[in-house]
Amino acid sequence: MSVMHFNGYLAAFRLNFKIELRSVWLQAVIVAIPLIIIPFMLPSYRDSLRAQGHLSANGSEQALPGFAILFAMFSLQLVLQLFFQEHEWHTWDRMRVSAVSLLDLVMAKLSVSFMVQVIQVALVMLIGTALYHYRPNGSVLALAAACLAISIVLTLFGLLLYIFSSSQNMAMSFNNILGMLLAGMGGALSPVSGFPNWAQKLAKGSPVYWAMDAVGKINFEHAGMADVWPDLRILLAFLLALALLATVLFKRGVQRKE
Amino acid sequence: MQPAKNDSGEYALSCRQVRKSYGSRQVLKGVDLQVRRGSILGLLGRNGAGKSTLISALTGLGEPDSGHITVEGHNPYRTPSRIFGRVIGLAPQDLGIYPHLSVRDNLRGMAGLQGLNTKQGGKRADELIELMGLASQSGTAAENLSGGQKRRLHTAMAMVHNPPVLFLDEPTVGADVEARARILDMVRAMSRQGTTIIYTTHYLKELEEMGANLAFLIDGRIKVQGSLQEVLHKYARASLRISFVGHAPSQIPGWRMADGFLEPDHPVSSPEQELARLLQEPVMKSARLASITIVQPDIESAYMTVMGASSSAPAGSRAWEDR
Ligand SMILES: Nc1ncnc2c1ncn2[C@@H]1O[C@H](COP(=O)(O)OP(=O)(O)OP(=O)(O)O)[C@@H](O)[C@H]1O
Ligand SMILES: [Mg+2]
Repeated sequence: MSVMHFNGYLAAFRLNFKIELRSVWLQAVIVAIPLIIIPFMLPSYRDSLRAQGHLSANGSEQALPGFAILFAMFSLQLVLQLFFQEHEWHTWDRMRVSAVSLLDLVMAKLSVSFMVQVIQVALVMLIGTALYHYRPNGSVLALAAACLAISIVLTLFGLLLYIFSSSQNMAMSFNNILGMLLAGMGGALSPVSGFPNWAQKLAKGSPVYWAMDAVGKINFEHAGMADVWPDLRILLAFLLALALLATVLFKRGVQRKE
Repeated sequence: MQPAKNDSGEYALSCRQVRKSYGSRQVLKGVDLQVRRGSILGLLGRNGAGKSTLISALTGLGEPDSGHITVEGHNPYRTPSRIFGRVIGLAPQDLGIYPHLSVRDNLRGMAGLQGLNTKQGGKRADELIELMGLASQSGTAAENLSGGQKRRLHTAMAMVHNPPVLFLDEPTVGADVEARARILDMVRAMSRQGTTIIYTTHYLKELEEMGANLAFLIDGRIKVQGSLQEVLHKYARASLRISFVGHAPSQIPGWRMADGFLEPDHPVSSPEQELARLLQEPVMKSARLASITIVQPDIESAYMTVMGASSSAPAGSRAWEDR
């Protein structure tokens, strides 16, 4: 792949943003559903957090970030759409013969997807904070950093799903199955500290674990940037690994869809 | 809008010995083609002849297995998109538009990708909307256009950046009489500006109207290439095509069966006399005629001659090789 060119990237970004705007209603649903489910889960989350010694917990400390991340996974279908639709609409060839390079095009799509992820997570966290009295005792900046990091990782995960799947349906199914697996395994559905021993070890294979680990420190341990840095570093490693894989496999993945 | 550089030669496009296979099926078997700058080339061939495959190869979408391609001095596979993308415009055979975006946004979006700024893009979009006769639909989502309107939008999207070389793969499929006229007008306008146009179609009259040069892609190679006049002069002939109900009579001297039709196996100067002679044949007494078509010496007949020669006569047995 070659260097990026800002104008091409910007034009592609604008076009993809316009296309994405069409799915605003779906994004709204993906923000609303977790906010609706959370109150059902609060009592049991509260009990389990209190049992683990967090006596001031009200349950939102697990529910809010957990569901924000789980539903960020579901919103990856928007990333998948952004790529697969170009094939469905036969516009992919047009993109490829345009003056925008493949790299700029992919980066534009990823940026729009990333933006959607960030808005998604931010809205769930902000509205949830207001509704369910989420009061972490650590740094808000560190919380934002953890959310941003997991959002980038998930976006790249979406790109890889696109590369490996031959159709949008296949990618969506993968996304739902793997999304639940990674989110559940990583402690988005219930705290990892309550997992059996072997599962606690396995959990570390999911990027979600490291985001939730950071969030746990921010919730109860007065953690700042420096304290969550080890978690962020591992998320960064996930990010680099996924980006490398995507770079190597992208062309072949696209050719299989033509 | 003409290329400032790389216009040393008189050809905007040239390819040599281009080969391309899909699996074990060899579609292009050594295509040689040169297209003069500013000309319109009608690329002809049967369904599945490889026209779209050749266009993909020329536009950088499908690298050939071997061969050389130069478009305005650029190798499509070695030139960065930012440069090559501005040299060519392509309206692929498959309709490629953003269904949820308006007509105007489709054009503006394309213009942006081609490096026009917002102002230039907006101006060019409005210009094309006018030319296409879509002014009253400019705010309509592309998915709500009729088939012919979609095809016009799709074709115009290839022209937003006034590329020096334009590839139009069956741009008039599904277009009504007026839409077709609009599209041909746009193509002619581009051609007058000096754009080189590669055009495929199964409507031969269009090529006649545009005064296009012709190239026939047959059996994976360009077998005949020349100006319209040259091709008409060499290959257009009057002929007859006769079909029968049930069995066709066989073994009539001077006649042969091709694709289910009885045809004279030689050039015909007067189809009427030829027909009269045929009806005298004794075997014709028992035959039941279904249709008789008199083929005029026009581009259709030239096409039939070139194609007929390629399908039913061994290579070299008739004078249809161009060079
Ligand atoms: N992606 C592909 N994979 C395998 N075979 C292909 C592919 N694309 C085209 N072909 C085959 O290559 C041959 C040439 O196809 P092509 O689309 O180039 O023909 P064409 O001349 O454009 O035909 P038409 O007039 O129908 O558009 C066909 O036999 C087709 O089946
Ligand atoms: Mg074709």
